[in-house]
Amino acid sequence: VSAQEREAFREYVVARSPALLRTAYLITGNRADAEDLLQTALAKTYLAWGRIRERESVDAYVRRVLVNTHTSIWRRGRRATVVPYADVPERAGGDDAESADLHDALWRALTTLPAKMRAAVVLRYYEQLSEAEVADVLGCSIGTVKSQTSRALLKLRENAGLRDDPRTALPAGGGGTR
Amino acid sequence: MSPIDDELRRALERHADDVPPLPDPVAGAESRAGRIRRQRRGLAAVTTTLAVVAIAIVVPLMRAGDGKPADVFTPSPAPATSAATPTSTPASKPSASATASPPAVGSAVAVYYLGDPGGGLRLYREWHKTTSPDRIRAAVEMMLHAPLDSDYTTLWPAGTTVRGVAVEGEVATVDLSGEALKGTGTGSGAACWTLKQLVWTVTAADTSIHQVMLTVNGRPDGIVSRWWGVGCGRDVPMVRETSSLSDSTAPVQISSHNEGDTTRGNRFSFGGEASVFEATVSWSVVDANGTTLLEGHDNASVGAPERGSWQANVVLPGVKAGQHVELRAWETSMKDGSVTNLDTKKVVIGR
Repeated sequence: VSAQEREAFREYVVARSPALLRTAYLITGNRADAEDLLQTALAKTYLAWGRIRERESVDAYVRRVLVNTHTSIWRRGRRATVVPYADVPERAGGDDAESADLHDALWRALTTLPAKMRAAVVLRYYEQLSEAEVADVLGCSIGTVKSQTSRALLKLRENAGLRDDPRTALPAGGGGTR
Repeated sequence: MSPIDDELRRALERHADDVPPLPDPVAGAESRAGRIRRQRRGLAAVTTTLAVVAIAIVVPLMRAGDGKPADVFTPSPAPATSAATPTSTPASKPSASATASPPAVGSAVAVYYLGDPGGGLRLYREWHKTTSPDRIRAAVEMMLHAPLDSDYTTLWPAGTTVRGVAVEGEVATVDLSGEALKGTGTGSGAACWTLKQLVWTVTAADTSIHQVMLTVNGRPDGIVSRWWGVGCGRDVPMVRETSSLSDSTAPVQISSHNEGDTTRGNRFSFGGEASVFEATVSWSVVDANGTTLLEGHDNASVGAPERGSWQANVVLPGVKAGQHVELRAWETSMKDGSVTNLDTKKVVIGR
């Protein structure tokens, strides 16, 4: 890696690592794993830096490494046990008590989803990527993204005990029953 | 958007909002890249060796068969280079991935204070919440006041206020009131730490800032060298000394909780950063009588001289909501097994 490329990498990391860490946190569900995962993903990005020609695609590259690394760790079962209450942040900002409960319930339900399904939810609803972009990151078809996210929504409602809560009504034609 | 889409997005944003940034992501990524590179090289060497062994076996077999390939042995010598290829490939097409940051409804800022773990002063960090859009100013104002944890301190003279913060490119100029010049009367060594508090706090509040200038009552002329002494700061923009990271920051710190925080029930995790030998952090939870309820240790993600993160998962079935406990984390001395570099946080068990 040349000095110039190294500087470009530094700039990228300083600018993007706070946002990427938030994504890593949502994917892993706890802070220590998120930091570990992001550092690994950034290290792999550093090694591939010379080959990532289009700088616009660096974010996409890092996301893909984040998700792939995490799902492979998850599959190996090393971090499969998640303590649901462990990492719910202590302080919430700008959230009234009632919706805070709803959001905590959704958050805990999220920790029960399989890694890849969870990643699909984070990329679609937090990063607000299109279905095509999510498919690109996960390395699957758009159809798979659609089916994974609609199954995820059903599971989340079920596991959070919110099946009949109007606040979690499903999108029309999204595979729901109502 | 249907209701669940919206609530899910808000739930994710709300939880993501509380994640503090990595202390030094660039150094972390580069050192880990070195490790991955060495691992891959090791793997490549093993593959090469295997290929050589395979050839060494197949050649005698061929000889034995008088030029005829032996049908019992089908070597598949993988090219040694394949092991050096990363598992992920770069994106083949550009994607419109302008990731919008979540709207700031109160964000966490790191505020640096000073503590003495035993061998002299070190920087300790507390996470404070701010709703101010001017994160640098908010963080510096908090730094000028006492920390939440009384084990730490600020060396800035009492009564110092922020007159203004100006940002130009990667340089932030912080203008403080005249009280800043009162001095702390603790010598120039401590004065350097006073400046470090400022530089680390400002550069943490806005990670695009790399250099910090200090003025007092709008005057830059010689303020730093005159009042803080040569050797720690000069009247040029000051930077974090990243090369001596572990010499500046706390060897062991609990950063998941502030002093006085309430935990989420009697089942929670706490953690932080550490730069300790062999990366081993010891921890315990102690009740108000000083009785140890639970103890353990965790390996930080990297060992000294680098900084890694560590975490303790705590389950305290007998402990009721409202009970006061103390979280402790330390480095066990290699010399005599004693407790060194201790950091503590008194917290209340929540429901």
